[in-house]
Amino acid sequence: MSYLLKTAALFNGLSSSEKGYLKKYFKSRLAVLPTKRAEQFQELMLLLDSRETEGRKFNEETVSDVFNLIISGLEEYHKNDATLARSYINQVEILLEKNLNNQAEKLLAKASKLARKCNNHEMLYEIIEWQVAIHSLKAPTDKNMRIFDDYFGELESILDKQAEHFGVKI
Amino acid sequence: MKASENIFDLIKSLTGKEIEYILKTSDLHKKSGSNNYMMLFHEILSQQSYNEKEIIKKLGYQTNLNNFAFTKNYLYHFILNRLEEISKLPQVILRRKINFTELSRQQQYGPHLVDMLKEAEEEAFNLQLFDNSLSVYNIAFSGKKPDAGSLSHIRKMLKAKKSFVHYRKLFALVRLKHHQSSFIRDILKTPEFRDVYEEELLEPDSNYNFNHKIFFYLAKGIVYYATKDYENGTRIRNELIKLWDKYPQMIEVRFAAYYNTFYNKALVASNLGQFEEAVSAIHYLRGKMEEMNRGTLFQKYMLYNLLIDVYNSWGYFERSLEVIDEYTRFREELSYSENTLFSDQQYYFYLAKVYYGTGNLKEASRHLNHIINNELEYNSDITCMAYVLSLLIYFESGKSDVLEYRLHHTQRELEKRNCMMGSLQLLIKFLKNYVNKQPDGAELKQLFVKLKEGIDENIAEDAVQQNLISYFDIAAWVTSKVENCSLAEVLKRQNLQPVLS
Repeated sequence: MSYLLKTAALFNGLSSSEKGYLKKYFKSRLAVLPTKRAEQFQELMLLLDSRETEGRKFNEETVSDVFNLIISGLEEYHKNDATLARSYINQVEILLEKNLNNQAEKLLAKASKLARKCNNHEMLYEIIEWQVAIHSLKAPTDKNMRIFDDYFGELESILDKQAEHFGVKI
Repeated sequence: MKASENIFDLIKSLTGKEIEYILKTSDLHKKSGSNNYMMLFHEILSQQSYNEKEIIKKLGYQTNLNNFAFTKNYLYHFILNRLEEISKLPQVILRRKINFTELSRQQQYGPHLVDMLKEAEEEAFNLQLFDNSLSVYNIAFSGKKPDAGSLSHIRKMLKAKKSFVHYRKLFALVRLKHHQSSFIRDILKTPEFRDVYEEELLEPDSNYNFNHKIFFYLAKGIVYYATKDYENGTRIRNELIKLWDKYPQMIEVRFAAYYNTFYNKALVASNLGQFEEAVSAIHYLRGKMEEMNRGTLFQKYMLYNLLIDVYNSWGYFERSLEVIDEYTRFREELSYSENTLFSDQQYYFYLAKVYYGTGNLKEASRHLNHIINNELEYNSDITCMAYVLSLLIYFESGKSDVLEYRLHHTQRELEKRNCMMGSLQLLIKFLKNYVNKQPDGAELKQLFVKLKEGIDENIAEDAVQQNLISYFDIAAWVTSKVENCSLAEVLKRQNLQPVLS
């Protein structure tokens, strides 16, 4: 299935409130694009909205970017605990790149709460890995070494739960 | 309670492009004029240091502090969301894809779901981000039992994760405790360190275990460095570089480990006196960081720290001088927690050496006094050599009266730190002689020749003294006096290799 068909199928299947949100979302995101590119995006969006994409030809890259923009908008519209926790993990990585380790640590605690609430082992594992990375930068006091042991102990226990969940032996 | 400065630090860390994106995408909820949170954004952006009281007053929040707290929190998450949108980090892009596949499953968005799941799974596997792979499997099978092929794949991923936990822990421990000789002694007795694990080096299935291998090799590299076993250290490092070459996509995923590989390469080369190779590794890493737009401020600072140390040891003080502005800028931007006593002490000592080597004795003295007067002491060897270099500066400036007084003080300080070893005893004796007798040119040269013989003999077989004078090469300094040339010339001659630009 071509990107254009896929994009049209996705857009046409959306509720009117989702479409309404996306239009607003698009408006703000188009502001950052060069004029010509923004025009191409807008043209495609108008065609999608009026269901007139059939037989039309569009640059594949433009369609793919619009598709990605639609999914970004929908992700924001439908934020739930799991997507929010994943988003926090992303933001932790961004904060760490900026050397804002204390802020990353606080956000990890929030993500951890959400991941535990959703019982999402995969996310919890990722979160603890980041906690380990940040904790490694601290002095090796007895207290910090105990926290380390706790982190690694939990990683091992998550692995056991994952194996049990998928029904495999490791 | 002190106001949280998180938002200030975050805004101040933004690049021009990031600010532009935030500004342009900020009017989604704008009704008229400017948004409250964007007004707050501009106020914070314009401040040099965070002054919340002033902002509250200026924006009229005095009677509604709750509203201010809400706006501040909203702005903080707004900025993070925007940064996430434009992030090019592969893991960030992948997680957003997974978020959407999950959403598509929940909202039943339709025909593209299968393609997206496949794409996300392939990408996660290629980057060996197995938790993301497993998340995709969870979405794909959602309650149903995976087929046999998928189960075998899942088992391999879980096994790789199990190994990873083991080696990640090993690395964390080694990294934190490699300064403790008792820890190094004990860890050398563990199975992982008893031999060089030929099978481990040859293990073929890096498609699953890249992550654990990287951490295992890094851990071993640190232990070999701590035990000065540079031969095995080099061997391990070459294995690491082979892995990076074979899996270039993993550089983005494990950038800190990639950085460590080349930083350690430069560090070991520098310790072996292979300065050209050290500078080459530093330049390579710096280029890579620029090309990929990666690396934290602390990593950049540490790279300059090493570069200046290498140039100083090599005698290319003028090269150090060229990069000290950049070095100082990075240091000033470091957060409070990263500005450790150790980095402070190193910073002032390295700069003192640069200024001394380029003939600016006044500046050299000023930087040494920072260490001596403010008791910046983490490494007592550096403190001792700061005292020694300070004496040499008084000697060279012809300030015999100050030198006489400082000699007694220095002697006490060195003895206090158990640092009064043979070569330093000879140097102190020489300087005392100089102050008392004020020898003429010919006599002084004779004294220098004698001092050189004494120091050379002292340090020839003594690793502890060699280590001490690696902070400041007093043997080379005496040679420069005997030969009536600069310290830089002697050091350059000792390490006859052309410097890379």
